[in-house]
Amino acid sequence: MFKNNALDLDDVSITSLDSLDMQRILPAYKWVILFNYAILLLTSNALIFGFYQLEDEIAFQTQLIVYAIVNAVIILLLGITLIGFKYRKYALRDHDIVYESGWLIHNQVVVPYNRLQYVNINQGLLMRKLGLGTIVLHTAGNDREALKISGLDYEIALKIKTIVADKMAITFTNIDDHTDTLNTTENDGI
Amino acid sequence: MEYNFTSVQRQSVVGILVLVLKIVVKFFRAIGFLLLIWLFREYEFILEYPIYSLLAVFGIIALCLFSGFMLYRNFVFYIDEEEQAFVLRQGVFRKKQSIVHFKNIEQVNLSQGVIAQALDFYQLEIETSASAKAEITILALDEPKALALKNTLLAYSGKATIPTAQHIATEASDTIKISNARLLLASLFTNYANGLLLAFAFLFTFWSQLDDLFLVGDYEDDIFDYATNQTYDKYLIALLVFLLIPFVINLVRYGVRYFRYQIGMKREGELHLEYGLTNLQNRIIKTGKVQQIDIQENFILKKIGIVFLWLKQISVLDGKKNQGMIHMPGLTKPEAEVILTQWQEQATKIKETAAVYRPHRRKILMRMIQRSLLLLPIGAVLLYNQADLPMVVWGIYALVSLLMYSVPALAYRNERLYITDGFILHQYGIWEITQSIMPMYKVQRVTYGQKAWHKKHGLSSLVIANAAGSIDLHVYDITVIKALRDHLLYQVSAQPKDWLS
Repeated sequence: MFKNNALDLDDVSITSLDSLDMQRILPAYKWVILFNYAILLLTSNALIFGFYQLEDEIAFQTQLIVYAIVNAVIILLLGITLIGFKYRKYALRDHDIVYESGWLIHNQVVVPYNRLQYVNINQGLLMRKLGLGTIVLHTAGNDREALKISGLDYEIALKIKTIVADKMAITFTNIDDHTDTLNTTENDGI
Repeated sequence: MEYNFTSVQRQSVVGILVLVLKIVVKFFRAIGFLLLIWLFREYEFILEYPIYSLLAVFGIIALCLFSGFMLYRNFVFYIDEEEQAFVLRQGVFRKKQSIVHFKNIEQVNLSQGVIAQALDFYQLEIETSASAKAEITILALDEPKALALKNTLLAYSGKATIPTAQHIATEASDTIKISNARLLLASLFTNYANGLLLAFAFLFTFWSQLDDLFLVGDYEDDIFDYATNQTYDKYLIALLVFLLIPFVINLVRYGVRYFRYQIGMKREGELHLEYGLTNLQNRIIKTGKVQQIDIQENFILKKIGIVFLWLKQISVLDGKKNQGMIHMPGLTKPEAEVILTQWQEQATKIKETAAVYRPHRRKILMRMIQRSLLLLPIGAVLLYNQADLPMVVWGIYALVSLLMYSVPALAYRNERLYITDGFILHQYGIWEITQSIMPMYKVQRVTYGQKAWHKKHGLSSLVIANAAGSIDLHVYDITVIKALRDHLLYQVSAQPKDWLS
């Protein structure tokens, strides 16, 4: 029978996420961020330039103001992203995977392994040069990814993928029969 | 449902409508011809005093509604067991009482005219041996009540036995029917904003299609000239008519899409739905796939006793998309509770045992600041162009600002978070109050968030996602949010349960 009592939110037997040691992502990923922003800067400026070539009745002063605003906003965003870089952390626990990020707006996403549908690793051209990888986790129902960690060492990303896939398989059958297996798997921060 | 006809009974609420219609017909029969002649002669009067004419029309409508309501209130019937008779009392000023003794009852008939069929009610007639015409006519009863009354009367008169009535009662209990009358009421009093948006969209497309409709060039200036040269009364009328459009749109939308809504619950864990006028839908819903149920009501619907249900199913499964959202409009509260219990046994009892939390008051402030970010720049632009602007624009700006600034406070007043061992219930809204219910074992992902400016006040947010929707909690106390986050993760992992069950 399913119980339905008022919830005691001060239950100390539940381990809190606050006491968790978390891993930072690799600093090399900053290059990827810089590269992406460079492309963004180039394309947006090119677009504005192209637009002004077609519409020739706009005063030069107005053009300059638009350029200034667009570039200032992009550079501001880049600044915030770079400051927020050290807040990008992840951890694997026995039963779930955690990723947090953000400086002004801090977010922490947690997905239990037994809710995962599939895992994959992405690697762009620059990331391959730097030996980085992005791990993407999907749950059911949502079109977009549930959790995404960019800027992992590629080897570690592969390791995480194996561990997560393992745990997905286990938790789909019966968690109680496999408690021992779970505890022996190396998973503390990798 | 059980009916006790020994106590005083009334017709179904839709009876008011039928009575009003009867009055209107009577009214037009009496003076309709004269009215038509008068209109034909004096139509200039209407064009000259449109406001008064409109007021007169509204006055007549109101009078009809009121007399219909009074007639409805004063139409009561019951079974007098001592006298062994059926008693009917009617009339507002001139009271009339009819008594039919059971032994005289020859026949009890149920019938449905065109209107009755459309609105799902029955007319009940009692025929006696005394006269050839029906002795008693009850205009409007909903199906279960009509059947129950018929069977009770037949049983008392010795024409049938009681068990038949009980049989019908049990058969009705595993099917819920949303009567068209209730659908009508429900569609009138909800989603006004949606209807208004649709009306705007319609107006906009109409405007942009004008080019194709009239091939002459200067019409836009003509229309503009025409529009600016009208008196304020005409603007007011146009506005009133426009504000009525959403009611009509909703009426048609709901009437066509959800016509004859039936929910069958003959098998455990399944809901068999059937509805639609032009496009008949026949669907089987596995209750396990429903991840979240939203219950929606507003002040008026609450008074009538009607709620709306939104069943959120998993939207993508095995890469295949299915129609995720199921809408049940115009359920009564007990019916909604039956559906909820079919889904999760404990779902109706959450509020009884739950711990209750509210967001922090700063939420109002934060929302107001957010709105200022939009409103202040607009104000600045208006100020910059002040010279060309008529006062009306400032009036509209002030009104919109007032509305937008009052929303956060109202929203705060209604927001509640209920937590039990197995469920989260989030209540929110301004006019339409929604209660989202999510069983904890269906949680897929938890996102805990904190904004830099909330840190020193100890506030944070939590987005709890399931496979079909989410519950978003913003600006709550950090201890509550963290404890809830940890508890959810604990529940999902330590007591795993198939989230599709």
